Amino acid sequence: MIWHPLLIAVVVGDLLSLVLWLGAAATAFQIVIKWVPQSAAREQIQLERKAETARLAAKFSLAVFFLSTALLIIGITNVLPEIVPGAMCGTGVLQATDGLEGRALMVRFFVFFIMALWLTYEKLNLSRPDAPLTKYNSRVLLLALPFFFLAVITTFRGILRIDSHQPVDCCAMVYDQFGSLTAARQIAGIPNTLWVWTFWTLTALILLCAVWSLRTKRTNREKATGSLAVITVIWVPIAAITLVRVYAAYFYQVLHHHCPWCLFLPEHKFVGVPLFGALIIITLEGPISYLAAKTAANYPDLLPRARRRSRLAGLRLLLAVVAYTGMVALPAIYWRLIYGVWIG
Amino acid sequence: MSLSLVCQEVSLSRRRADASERAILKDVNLTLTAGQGAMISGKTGAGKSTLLHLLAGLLRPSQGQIIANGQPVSRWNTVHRDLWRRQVGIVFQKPHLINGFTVLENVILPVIPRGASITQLRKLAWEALDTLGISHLAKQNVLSLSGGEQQRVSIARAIVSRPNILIADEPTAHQDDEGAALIIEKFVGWKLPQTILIVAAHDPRWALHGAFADKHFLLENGRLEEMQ
Repeated sequence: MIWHPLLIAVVVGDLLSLVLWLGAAATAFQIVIKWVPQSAAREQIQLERKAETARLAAKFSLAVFFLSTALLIIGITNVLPEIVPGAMCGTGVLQATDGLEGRALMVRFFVFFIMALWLTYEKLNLSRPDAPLTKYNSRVLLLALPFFFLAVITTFRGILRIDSHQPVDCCAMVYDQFGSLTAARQIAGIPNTLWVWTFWTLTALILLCAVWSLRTKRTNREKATGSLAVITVIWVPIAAITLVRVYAAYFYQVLHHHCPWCLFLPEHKFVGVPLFGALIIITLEGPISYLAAKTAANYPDLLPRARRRSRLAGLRLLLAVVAYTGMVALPAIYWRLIYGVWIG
Repeated sequence: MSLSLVCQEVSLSRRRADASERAILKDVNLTLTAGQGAMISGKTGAGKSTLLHLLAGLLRPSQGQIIANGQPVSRWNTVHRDLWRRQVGIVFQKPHLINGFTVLENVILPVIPRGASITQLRKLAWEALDTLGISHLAKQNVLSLSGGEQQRVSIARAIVSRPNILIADEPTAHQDDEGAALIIEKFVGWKLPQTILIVAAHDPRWALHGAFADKHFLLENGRLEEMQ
């Protein structure tokens, strides 16, 4: 363990957000078992007051968790490579944590997804004075709790493993994973070309679905947003794979350097931030578009607000996909126009 | 739905330092409809101000609910309750004016969130001051006013938004006979078919104006009783 201020800030932020979420979860649990909106009894009135406090605590927790996650990513990509011997980017730092920090990031993004879902429902909930989604949303809040614990514990264990005296291989590991050049040109036995074609086909599909969900009538709305959510779930991993395996080469200008973390370095103009940021937005907004449309169908009182949120999610997703594909394709097209060949 | 204000089995208790609870209001029931004026009387410390604060949405009951126009406003979440409170004007027992601001600025404050132009806001404020006969004080700092004048400013501040529900806590407490008569006369004048007026007072001067109160309530030991 190294006592770097940034790591201490991450640990403190994580603990603070966990405590706040735990406090909110205690109230959420009471709401799940005792909530009776028709009653004006003392217990229900007290629960309604507690629900407002829990909302504030959970929102604050989300903000702190977001901040500590951002600090962790900055640490992995740009601060710790200076400290861990042999590390040149996040790949080396993750090696130093025995891969724990990579797992922690995955769990953190999942927690963040549930929290974003909770926040979306909460905004819909508070658009009505009687807050009709309170009980439902309390379940969403509780759902995040075990993953929250896992994320905080895994992050902390990963931080404990970092040793400033133990050298790591970093990018050597990226190259060492291939036995031959053919192996470097395929993923799971499927050639890179096929992945690229799949990516662009799905991109066309996701754009079509996003436009359909924005223009469709009320009756087809769930179908359109449902298709959008499903394609999003398939599109995001394929987009990430093709980025790392194919399109990253146009940023690195080096063949077969399949490292996602080097994209976050200053020499590559921190391009990983907007690229992976766009992927996160798409991952969140696709399912939210469907869930908001479903809420509009199930709760007529929330219809205008939920429909607006569903459309907003569709619009955000559309813009993020256009921005992402633009950022990915333009360097490749530029390279092709200048040198007359594609890399690889 | 026409204007109505209903207290339904409302109780309020406070926790003491030793964790025991002290009941301030117990099972209060009250129904007022548009065009009605209500007088609430009771001894000092009986809970009149607390009841008014509950009716104005400034406090939440421990039990029961306050229903305005058929909606349980006391149980609404803060954002919506705050929006509803814009329909309510309240005159506090103490004026609660902002020191350092002029009389006009104090009176304008409640209508600023409505988003009207400053000219319109000033016009509304001047009208409210004129109604109370204190437009000559408009440019003065509130610190330079007497207690009675401050109270009139606080009444002007309560009526500037032309609320549907006007709640006043001892509005004549610091007034001489002339001032009290003017205020009582104004309250009688504000009793319109679309408004509800609620006054808490033990000032006997109100009793001289039988025209004001359609309902008279007595608050004793936390319980509200309607007097015939």
